[in-house]
Amino acid sequence: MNATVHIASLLVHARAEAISQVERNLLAIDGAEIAHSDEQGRLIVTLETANEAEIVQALTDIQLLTGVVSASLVYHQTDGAPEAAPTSLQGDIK
Amino acid sequence: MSGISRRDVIKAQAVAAAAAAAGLPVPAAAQNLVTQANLTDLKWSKAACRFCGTGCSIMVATKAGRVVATHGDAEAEVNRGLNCVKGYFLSKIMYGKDRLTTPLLRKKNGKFDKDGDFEPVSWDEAFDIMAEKWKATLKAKGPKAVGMFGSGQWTVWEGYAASKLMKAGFRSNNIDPNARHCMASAVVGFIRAFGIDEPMGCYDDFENADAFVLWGSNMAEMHPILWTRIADRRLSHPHVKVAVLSTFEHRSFDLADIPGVFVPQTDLIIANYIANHIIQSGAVNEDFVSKHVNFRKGAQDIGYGLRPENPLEAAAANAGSGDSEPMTLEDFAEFVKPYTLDYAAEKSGVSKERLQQIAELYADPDTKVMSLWTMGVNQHTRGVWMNNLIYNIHLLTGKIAQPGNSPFSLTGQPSACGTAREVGTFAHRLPADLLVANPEHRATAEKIWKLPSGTVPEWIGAHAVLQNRKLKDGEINCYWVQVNNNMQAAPNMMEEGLPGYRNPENFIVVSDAYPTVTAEAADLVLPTAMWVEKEGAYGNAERRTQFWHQLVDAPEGAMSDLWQLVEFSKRFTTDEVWPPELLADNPDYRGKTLYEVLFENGNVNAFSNSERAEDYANREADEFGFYIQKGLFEEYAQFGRGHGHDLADFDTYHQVRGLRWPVVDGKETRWRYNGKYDPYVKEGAEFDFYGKPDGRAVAFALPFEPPAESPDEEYPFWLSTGRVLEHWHSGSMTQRVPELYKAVPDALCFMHPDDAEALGLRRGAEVRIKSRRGEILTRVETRGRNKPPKGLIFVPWFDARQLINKVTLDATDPLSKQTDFKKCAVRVEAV
Amino acid sequence: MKRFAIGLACAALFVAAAAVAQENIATLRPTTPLAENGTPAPMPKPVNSDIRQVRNYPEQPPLIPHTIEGYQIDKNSNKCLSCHARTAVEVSQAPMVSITHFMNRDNQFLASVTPRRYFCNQCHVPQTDARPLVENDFVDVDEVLEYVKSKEGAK
Repeated sequence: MNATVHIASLLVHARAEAISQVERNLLAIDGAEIAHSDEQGRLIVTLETANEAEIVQALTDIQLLTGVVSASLVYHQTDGAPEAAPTSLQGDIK
Repeated sequence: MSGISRRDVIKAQAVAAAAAAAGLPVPAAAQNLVTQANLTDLKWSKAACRFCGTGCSIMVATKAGRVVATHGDAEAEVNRGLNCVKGYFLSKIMYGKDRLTTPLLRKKNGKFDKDGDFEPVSWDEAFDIMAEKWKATLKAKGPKAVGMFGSGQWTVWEGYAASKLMKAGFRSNNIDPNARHCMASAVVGFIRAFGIDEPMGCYDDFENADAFVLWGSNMAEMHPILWTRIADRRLSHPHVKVAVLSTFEHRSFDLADIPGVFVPQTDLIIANYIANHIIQSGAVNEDFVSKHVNFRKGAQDIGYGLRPENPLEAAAANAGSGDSEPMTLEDFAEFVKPYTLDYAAEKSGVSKERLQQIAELYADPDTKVMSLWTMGVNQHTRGVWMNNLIYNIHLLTGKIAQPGNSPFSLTGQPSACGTAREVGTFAHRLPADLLVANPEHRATAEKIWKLPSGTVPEWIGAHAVLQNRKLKDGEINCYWVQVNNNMQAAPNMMEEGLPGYRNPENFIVVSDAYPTVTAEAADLVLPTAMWVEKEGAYGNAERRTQFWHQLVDAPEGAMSDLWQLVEFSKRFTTDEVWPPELLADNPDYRGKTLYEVLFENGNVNAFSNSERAEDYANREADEFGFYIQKGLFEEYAQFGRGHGHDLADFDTYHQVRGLRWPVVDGKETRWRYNGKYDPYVKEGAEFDFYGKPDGRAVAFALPFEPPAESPDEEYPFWLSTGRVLEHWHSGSMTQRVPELYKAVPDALCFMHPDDAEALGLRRGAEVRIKSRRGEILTRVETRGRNKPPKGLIFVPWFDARQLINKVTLDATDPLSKQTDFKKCAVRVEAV
Repeated sequence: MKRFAIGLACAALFVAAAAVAQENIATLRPTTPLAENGTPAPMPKPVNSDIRQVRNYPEQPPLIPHTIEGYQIDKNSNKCLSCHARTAVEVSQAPMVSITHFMNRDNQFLASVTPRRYFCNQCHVPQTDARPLVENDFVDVDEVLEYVKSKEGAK
């Protein structure tokens, strides 16, 4: 594994009647998968992105989707390459 | 794990975390992965944090019988996903390599010997010798010669079972919790002013206040998650002001708009000045005061809670007196008149400008003020008075029991409220604010407990400091300590604590998970299950009761406090410990074990094990054959339901993230005494302080009086002790977490650089801190997070190698009996 | 529910500290008797390696691998963010604060770090070179999983 991957899970509350539309629109977002959805409009969405900024962007996009009441980040972890080479920090943070 | 990547595993974990946060079952997709790999099915369950009184909710992940991760519970209102650094390391507190797994008894030649070394013994042998000692003592000297010291870290039912065993079983009120060191002044303050213990407000006040005033509290370190709520409010609402008053500068000053470092004990003057300012500036809320407040003048010159032969006690005109007489608002105004701005500034050392700014926060009718305090106010020889003086300010302005207007007494321990106070494990109390000295209250307890009238004794038992004195004097001879480290925590260890434990007449038992300083001073040590190794409940500072399930098994050999208490009760029969008169009047109770009369009474054993949650173990319920935690809780809850202390039913608490009592018709109460929120307020009333017979709260006229000991030529420094963020209390858990240990490994003597220089000391130099009572060796810190003014040093007490309580003074508030750990006189010498 | 007896390798090290008779059991103290005072350990040095430590579990806040002595973190300024802020990391090459830190109390994202996370050192602490007094037997989840797998394989 070379590239770092950011994995996040979101809890999304959608209006129950709009759930199928929300699901379709969610799946159109890069790196998003739906792990769970129910008739009350609760969804668990995972995101796989290259950096934090993409997660924030995706989250913002999701919050703006028609039918979404709220979306919040629950979990975030990075996997893959070391987050940054420690040597590059020498002298920066003292 | 072919076909499953690490990434899938992380993703499944991410899904499980989201499911846990939303209270959803783990979705099938993640479950498939789980079944496939059998890897990621971490089981997430909620629990309450093991540390401070904030009461954060924690999500705990377990796997194969181990806790493998913890994080802040996103669903919990208290902390909304956050933890402090201690909380984030909860996963590791149970895994110190030196967990006790077998009872240890001091022995010589195969027999118990007070001067022997510790040897492993079986639980049977441990209980045999304990029972032998207890029986002999009860027979020879009666119930006043046995005692127990418990904790605000007991779970609710452990404290309840202990209280029952002592007060009804052994018929001894010599049971007190370490909350005595922590909350007693707050309790007496509440009872005096409102007639009911615990805050009227709640944490929702943080998001509603316009100003926060910290009275001697360092919330940034001691209540970090509540501090995040203040920081949130202050930094996102520019009009919000934070005032921090303390005897030395600390991390909470980083957020202070109005900082104030005052001379120890002059908080009494500052509070009276603010009351005076409110009156003089016409800011009294006359409508509120006329409807809801009585004024009383308290007794003065009340002593210092020292031994009676101490000259200070002998000289006090009204030692220990909490008496008061009625007065008018006009009399009260006259009383506080001498506390002028000039006088307050001169005595306290805080500038006039800042004092006035703080007074104005309270006086301005449009500023909602939350006052916050903990040990600075409570560990004070006039701690009850200080609590009352703060209430005075809020009562004069009517800034009380409304969102954002809140005098808020914070608690130190996770269940100081839930267990120590609500269950009433104090020497003078019974559950739900009932008192042992009140015959009707005793009758209520005996009725609920199904015990004969006259079982619970009327005498007030020995409080924490008095217990140590009585141990030293040989008046208490059998003594059981659970869930605390009092040899390290109690004041004046060299003159009172250690001589008491090592008194050859005494048999000392200590139950702990780890071999603490207190365990080393004991004769018998019992290995104890901790935190999520048992089903538990805590009650936090905002009246929120929180439950958790047993999530992992304790190490083989370690047993919970609850099991120890209940199992021990099987070794006594009523004939052995109750007086013949009591049994003659109640022959049905003859020949029964204490276990039968206390715990097989039809209440405690009312619920069968089939009512337990299927997917959680419960060692105690297995051992006793019934759902003992539920039985104890439901019996206990009878005390408060319908009396302003209503708790929800047992099962509810396992579902929710806690509820704030009184819980009436399934609804919690956020602001007590306020007609809009509190169902106990009488119909139509805006406010009703219903703890008092006439529904009116009491403001007390109380003066400045000097501390028990002040610096002089021989001992020129003030010593204040306290905690640090990274360690909980005596460090017995957190010092065993390497990351926390390495963050703050040792106690240090924080002092002003000029003081250090004058003594020829450099940072890191070894010093002796010496008082009239004892001394310790430590090192000087002049650049750390605490910045004392000249003439004051601060030494934290978490370090078992540097027992600062060898130095402290056992002076207490004469009313609350709580020690003043913040003020005594010491000398600092180079070594 | 499947329950595994604790059989992890390190659990075997739970050899009772008191297998033999002893006087001084308080393991956080050297053998100094309670009434006496030992020489305090020298002040430990702050770890300043900039080498990041493995977290015990993903939810653990990372430790600070450098000294923060003299850092100002108060209502006027936050020295940590001068390197760890979103916009600072390109220059500093320090890790950016986790995006969880942008969420407010109601789980909504803000434009900058939420004030509730403002005081970094409530959760993130630097380390000293002090040697722990007692070992900790916490087992990393990866090892627990290995153990589970080995058990499964043995069936």
